[in-house]
Amino acid sequence: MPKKQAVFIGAGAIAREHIIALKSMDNIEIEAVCDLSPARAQSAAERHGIAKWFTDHAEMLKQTNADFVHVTTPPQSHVALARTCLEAGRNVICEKPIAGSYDEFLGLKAIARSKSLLLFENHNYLCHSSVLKIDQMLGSGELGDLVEVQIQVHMDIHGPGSAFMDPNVPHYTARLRGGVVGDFITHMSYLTLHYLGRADAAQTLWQRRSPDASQPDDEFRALVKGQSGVAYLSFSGNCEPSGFWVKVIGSKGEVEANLFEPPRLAIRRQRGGPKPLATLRDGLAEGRQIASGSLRGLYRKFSGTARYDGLGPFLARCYAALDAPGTASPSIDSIDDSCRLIERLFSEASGK
Amino acid sequence: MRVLVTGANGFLGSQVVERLLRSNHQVVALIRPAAEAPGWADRVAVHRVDLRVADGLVEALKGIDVVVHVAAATSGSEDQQFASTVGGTEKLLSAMGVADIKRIVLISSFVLYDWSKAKHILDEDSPLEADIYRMGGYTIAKAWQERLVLAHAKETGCKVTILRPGFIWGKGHAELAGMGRKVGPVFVVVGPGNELPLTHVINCADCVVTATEAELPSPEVFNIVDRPAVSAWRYTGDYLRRSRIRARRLPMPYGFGRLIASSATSLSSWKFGARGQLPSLLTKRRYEAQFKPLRFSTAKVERVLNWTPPLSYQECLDATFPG
Repeated sequence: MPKKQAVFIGAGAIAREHIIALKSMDNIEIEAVCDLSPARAQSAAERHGIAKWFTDHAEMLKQTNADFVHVTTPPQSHVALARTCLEAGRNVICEKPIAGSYDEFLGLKAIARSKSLLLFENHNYLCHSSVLKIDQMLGSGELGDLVEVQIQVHMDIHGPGSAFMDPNVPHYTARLRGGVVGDFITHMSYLTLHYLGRADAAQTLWQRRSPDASQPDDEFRALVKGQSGVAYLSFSGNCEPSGFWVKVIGSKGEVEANLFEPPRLAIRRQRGGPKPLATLRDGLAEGRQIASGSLRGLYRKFSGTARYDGLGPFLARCYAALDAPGTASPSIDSIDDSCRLIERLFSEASGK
Repeated sequence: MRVLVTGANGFLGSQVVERLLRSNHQVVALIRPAAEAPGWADRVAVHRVDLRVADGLVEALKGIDVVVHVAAATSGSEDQQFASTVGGTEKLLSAMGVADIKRIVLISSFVLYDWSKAKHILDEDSPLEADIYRMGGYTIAKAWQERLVLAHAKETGCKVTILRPGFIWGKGHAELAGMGRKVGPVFVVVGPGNELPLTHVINCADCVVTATEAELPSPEVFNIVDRPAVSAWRYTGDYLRRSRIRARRLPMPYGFGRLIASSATSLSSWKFGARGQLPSLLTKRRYEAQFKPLRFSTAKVERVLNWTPPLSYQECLDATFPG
């Protein structure tokens, strides 16, 4: 079977993660990479053994015939580049956020539909090892019925050396809708829908805590009422340690994971035995989970498989859809749902 | 001469500006938009430009005889360093082409050499690291910077002088990776008898200006290292004493550390293949690039530029740790 071909527009940090993930798959070949910086394009090609490099994406699209174009540029350029690629008849995998607004996404979706092309937004955390394990626990009934999901992102964007607050060249998030929150809200949105099924109502609070005005908002909270429970979303740009916590609370127990780290679940559930010993039993069980998770995490760091957990399996799903387009996961409708929820979270900005 | 200095308010750049002013050169200083005004700001033409954006760069380059390109990122992620150091150099060279600048002096680095292949003495003819991508972000960026400058010279006829300093030290920058590592109350000195390729920032700036003033063929490369040589043990002792850091020095033979790094590298390679990741001290090539016992030749810089460091080691210590 001939290998599937990939090309890249944008050769920065996130492109490298995509490239590393694709290089581990036998059925995919990277044909070319493009970047406005000739040095960056050439460096990416040289480093990863990619035959061609370009500085003009239109020229690359003319000279190559890839199955997928990966759009891995800063967010402001996503819509225009994705549209160009779709209009040129190419399937697209676009980094998040795929569009600056829901209307912009609908424009892309219409082109993809009319040309029968695949269009994906990177929802890699759906394939994160921890999320897959939580899915298993929910599926097996181990956690009981879903009651609540808490999705929290913490980072100190104002700390020393923070790329978000470069005083010389503003970070791209400074011009993004929602600022740094807007850069992460896609992950929060699709994970919310992954657990809740659909969003029926939402309330939000947006605010800037730091006096530094170079970022629009650095604090965000939301409550989303869904089909099967409630989601609490929180982004703080003023907290350390940084982390991306997902906590799923069920009627029989709860499980928590930090998606910035390799799989390490903290599980709390009802256990049998004498009640006075419950605290000790739970403590020992949690300690065991944390210790074994930490060792596994260290092992994965040494083995070079800890980075961007979930991206490889996610991209594998995208490429598998080339042979069976009807089974695309995530489907364009679920990307639509996520973009619509984001629009709602922006428009419900009651705290502003 | 009218000299433009990039990174002019940095650790080395500010000393280069001072030294150029002492020799009565006209200086145009590029500093970042948010940088504090340096002490010499009233004696030079200051342009606030970030090379990653480069607005106003062609304007700043008007009438310049030589560009001394010091600006480079020394921290941040690999991609941040690449964007800053390499992206900035791309923009600078492009503007130099427009402004028709005839000469550039690039401050490069010792990290470009393949220390594992150097035999006893490291000099300008020693082999360069062939696979830069297995080294750190700083090495990758500096290698690309040299590559771009040499390509620009070939394309435009611009004259190039490349200066590769050893470990630049001075006030606020006295702890050097090549010494070893502090672990709690102990400072482990790796290869205590090793010669450190030290160059004090004042001496280094003096050499940069000497090379800038010289008529040289193009391209030409010089290493910058002070004389006389100082051992890792002695430098670490002076550093700890003068910084008033309470730590005992513990010598660790170079070979012992190399055995550990080699074993870890082999184990990682056997178990995880090319994907394996280790801290730099446990990566054989990176360990060698910090600690391999070599001597560092100053023959070329002495012969061609007739340069010797103006400050002795003792004077450098006094300048670094006043009082």
